[in-house]
Amino acid sequence: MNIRGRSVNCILPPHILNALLDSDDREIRRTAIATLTSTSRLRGERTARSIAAVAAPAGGRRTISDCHQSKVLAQATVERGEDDPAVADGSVNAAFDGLGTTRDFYAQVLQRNSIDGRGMRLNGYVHYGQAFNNAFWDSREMVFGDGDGRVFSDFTGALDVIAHELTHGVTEHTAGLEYHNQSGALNESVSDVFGSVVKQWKLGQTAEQADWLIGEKIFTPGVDADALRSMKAPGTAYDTPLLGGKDPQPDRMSKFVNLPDTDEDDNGGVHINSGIPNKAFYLAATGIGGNSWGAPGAIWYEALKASSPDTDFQAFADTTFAKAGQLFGTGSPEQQAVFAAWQGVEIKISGASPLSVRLSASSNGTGAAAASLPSRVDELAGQIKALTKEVNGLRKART
Amino acid sequence: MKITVTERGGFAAPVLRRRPDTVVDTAELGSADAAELEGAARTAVARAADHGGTEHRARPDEQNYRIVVDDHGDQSVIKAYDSTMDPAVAHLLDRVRRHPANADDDG
Repeated sequence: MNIRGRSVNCILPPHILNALLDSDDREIRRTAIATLTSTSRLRGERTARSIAAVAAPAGGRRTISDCHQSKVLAQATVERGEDDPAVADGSVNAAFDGLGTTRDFYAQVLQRNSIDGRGMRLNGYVHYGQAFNNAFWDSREMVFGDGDGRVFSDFTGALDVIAHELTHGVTEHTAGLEYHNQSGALNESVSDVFGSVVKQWKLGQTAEQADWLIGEKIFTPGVDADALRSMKAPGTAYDTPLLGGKDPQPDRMSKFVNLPDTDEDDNGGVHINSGIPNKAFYLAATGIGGNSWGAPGAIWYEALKASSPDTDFQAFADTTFAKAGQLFGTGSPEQQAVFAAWQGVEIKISGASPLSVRLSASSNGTGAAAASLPSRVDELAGQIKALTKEVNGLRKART
Repeated sequence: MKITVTERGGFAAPVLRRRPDTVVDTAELGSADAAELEGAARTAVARAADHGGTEHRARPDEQNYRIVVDDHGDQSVIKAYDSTMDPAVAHLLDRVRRHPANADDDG
């Protein structure tokens, strides 16, 4: 389709139109807006206004479209834009709100401008497919199913699920963790971490108050399950024949589940072995105390940005330890908590110095000795300096 | 014609991984339903053959589908992913899911 220099004489589906509105080419953006205006009679004036409003780049502006139970995104219709009021469809509003809360979290807490760090537009598609039991991020937009109504309910109702999916976008634009085996399980874990952290931030909960559950709202009320995953106690979220038995997530390396890297086996168990780094974050957050979006979230986010596509559990653990040291000081309570957290899932920090390991043991997990170390060193250095000065003065007096 | 759908992946991948395949045998359907489903399956097989061989990069939480169409001994296998799904394959999956025999098998 040649769009330069003339109006596009067809009704473009929202995802293509949004791509055109994102173009760096001013003429392409202008043409896309002209198309919006010319087709506004068919789409409705409100819709056209809302999309035109998001034509300006940056800010993570939202557009929610309705798939009408089709799996063809090109058939979706735009229902709500950034400046539009709430609509009658609850799924549209829930997706709109969830995307907004996640965007605001990244902006206000981690100083990140939308998914790509450059104000990427947030496009959500609801009512995808027939009784579709899923929500996913496809590198450009977020897609939500309605659930079958028997086991799974509407996926737009769960903020942690929305934050989880958008965080996949953040990971794609930072570490780019490959979606298989350990790097894939880390990819999943990072999404669970910030899915839970965003929920805690929204609720104003401390790490101790939080439930650390992922997807507790995706099941219908009749399903006997706490959630889909538990970060606090991986492997305990459910145990019911309706979900095929017991939650299979391991909580430590000795229970790591080796699966083939195939579509049929969850790309090497990315949704299963994510339980191990999930538990490590829970231990770090509760070990540090306070709000998980403070020091723990900052450490994990910086570690994510410093990681690469093939980063495995060991490398990520080492990076979180290093980042904790850079952000809060070597031997700080935060770094000691990170060390202990990975130790709790049977991963030993390879970058840890013998001193920090010894301090971890001697502090019995409290980090108190580590916390007092820098001030004690300063105090001793001051005393040595004073004594040296006094000795030098005495030597001069004797000569 | 027998159509078998294996659905895997997704946000709830460990749950989906344990689910049984969905199977529809058109011999058990009325003639109109059977003809419609067989037509949808043949179209999907033809479209998949046209677009076959493309390597797919796994995307986070995306579902994947393995559809086996056994047309009187002539067996075809379709691999599909939500982010790149051909509309003809999407139509077949929806048609299979809407079939009354599969309406209550989600558990």
